[in-house]
Amino acid sequence: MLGFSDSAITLMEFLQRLDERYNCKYLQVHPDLIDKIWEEYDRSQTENSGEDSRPLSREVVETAFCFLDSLPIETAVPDVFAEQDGNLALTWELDPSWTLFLSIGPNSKCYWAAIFGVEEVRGAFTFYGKPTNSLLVAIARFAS
Amino acid sequence: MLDPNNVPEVFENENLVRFILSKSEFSASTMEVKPTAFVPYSHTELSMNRQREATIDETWTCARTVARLREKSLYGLVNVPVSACIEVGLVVKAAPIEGNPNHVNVGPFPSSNRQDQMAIALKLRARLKDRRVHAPSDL
Repeated sequence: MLGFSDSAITLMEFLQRLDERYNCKYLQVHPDLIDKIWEEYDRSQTENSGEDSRPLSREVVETAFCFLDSLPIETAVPDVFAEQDGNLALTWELDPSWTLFLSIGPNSKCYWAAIFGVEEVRGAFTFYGKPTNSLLVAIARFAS
Repeated sequence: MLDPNNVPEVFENENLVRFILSKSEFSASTMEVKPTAFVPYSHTELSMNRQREATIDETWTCARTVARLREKSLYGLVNVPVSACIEVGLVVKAAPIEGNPNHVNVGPFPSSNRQDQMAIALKLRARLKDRRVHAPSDL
C-alpha cells in the first residue's frame, strides 16, 4: 500500500503517487467515485454504531482507492456503500439476477460473489495492487 | 400476532418481512433492497418476522422495537416469501422471542466464509418478486 491514512499527504497527492506507480487513471476518469466513498466514510462514522456495527476505517478507504485505480479504464462504474461491519461494498448490477458484489475489508481482504443468471462465481483474496483474474473477468461482464 | 403459547411451524406459502435498519441495505434513489440486507455478517442466521396472523400495525411495532433495541434507525421493511428462502437452500425456523412470537431465524449461512454468505444473499434477493423497501409511512 502507498499509505495516506497515517500521513499528512492530501488525497490528490495520494492519487498522483498511485498514478506514478501503477499508471492507472480510473479514479481520474471517475472522480465522482472519490466523493461517493468519502460520503460513505462520513456516513458510517455516525450511522454505524450499535450492535455489530463498525464505521469504515481510512485503511479500508485507502484499499478501495487502490483497488479502483487498478481497474481497466473501460470498467463500468460500481455503486459504492459502507457495510455495517466496516467493510466497503462495491456492486455492479445489470439486474438482480446479473449482479456482482465485492466487499473490501481491513488488512486488504476482499471477498466477492456474482450471479449471472443461473451461473454463480465467487472468490476471496488479499489485495496487493492487482485484483485476481477471475474477478476482473467477472467485472468485465458488466459492459461500460 | 401468533399465540406465543402455540406457535405453529413455518409453511412454505407464508410470507416474511426483513426489517431495514441501515442506509447501506437499500438504494435511496430506487427504494430497492440491496444484497447487504441479507448478509448475516458475524451471525449464521438472519432474523425475520412472519406476517401470519400479524396486523400491519403489529409488524411495524415489532420493527420499531427491534430498531430501538439495536440502537438503529428504522428505514422500512422488505417482503420475503418463505419459498424464496427455501429455493436458495435456507431453512426458516420459528424462533419466538419475548414480545414477538412471529420471529423466525433464517439460515444456516456459512459462518466463516463471507463470499458464500454474499452469494446466498445475491440469490435470495434475485428471487424476490417485490424488492421495494416499504418505508414506515407506506403501509
